[in-house]
Amino acid sequence: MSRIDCLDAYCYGYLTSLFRWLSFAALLPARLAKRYWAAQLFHKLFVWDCECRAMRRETFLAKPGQVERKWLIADAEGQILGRMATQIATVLMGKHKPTYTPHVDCGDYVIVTNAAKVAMTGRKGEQKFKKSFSGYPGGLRLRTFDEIREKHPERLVEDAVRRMLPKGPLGRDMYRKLKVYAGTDHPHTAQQPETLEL
Amino acid sequence: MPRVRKGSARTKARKKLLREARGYYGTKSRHKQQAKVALMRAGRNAFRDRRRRKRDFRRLWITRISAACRMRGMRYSQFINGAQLAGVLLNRKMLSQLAIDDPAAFDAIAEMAKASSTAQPAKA
Repeated sequence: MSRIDCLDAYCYGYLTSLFRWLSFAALLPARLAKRYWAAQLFHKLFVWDCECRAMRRETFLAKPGQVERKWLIADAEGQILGRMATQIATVLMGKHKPTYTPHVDCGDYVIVTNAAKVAMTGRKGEQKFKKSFSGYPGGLRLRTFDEIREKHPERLVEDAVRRMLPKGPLGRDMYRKLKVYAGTDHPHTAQQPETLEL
Repeated sequence: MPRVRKGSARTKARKKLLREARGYYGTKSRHKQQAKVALMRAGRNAFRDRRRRKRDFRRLWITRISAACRMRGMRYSQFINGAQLAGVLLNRKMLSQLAIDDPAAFDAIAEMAKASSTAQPAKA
């Protein structure tokens, strides 16, 4: 967009709003055209309109229906849980695209395979706990990461990614694009996923 | 002093207030007190957000440029450092739009930036 174009648009905005104001003023019944009312209208139709046009938004904003979403597949085997989760979360949010728009879900779908074989540094499997509190006295339950992995092989990856996503309806939508599987099999071959480099 | 009666002035004031609050949700567009509070808040938020908008958009452009740089194996900080040293006069808004509308042009700028950047090269 060159400067001349911007100037043109600016003048055009002034002229159209001037015309609009004139035609509108002619239609107004006399008793409505009191001072504050007229001033307000004038501001809304003329000044405000021109300001808006002068500050015309040139920044691209994605529309919810027009976002193109790819399917990506990541192999979690031997990957470090948190480091992998940040990358996956970035893709789910769409922050890896130059068209990223904060109020629109523009991320891709991510399939994670081998989630049961995800790695952690140090002895976090035995030492790091997930807490849950039932609300009753003495109702605190501590489970190590290893215990969780044994019972729900997908949960470590799911939890790690979900807690890195924004909280709210949009964040939940983003989370629904994540598909985690304990083994190598997944039912999304029809989507022809591309590999996500980790 | 003659005694002043407020009747019509009050009605007028209320009507003016409610006209301003037209389209608000529920009682905020119907009751004087609620409309008054809502209008004050609206004005305050609008004032604050006109200033905030400038920051918000700059943040968005930077996020987008960062994404575009990472697609080309660079970091945002390296890119801006290199672009400045190479004498690129485009601002962040223009750069982010280029990355969307004209990726080839952004490629060229990224190359220039890479060549003149003084930063350490990015890890893979």
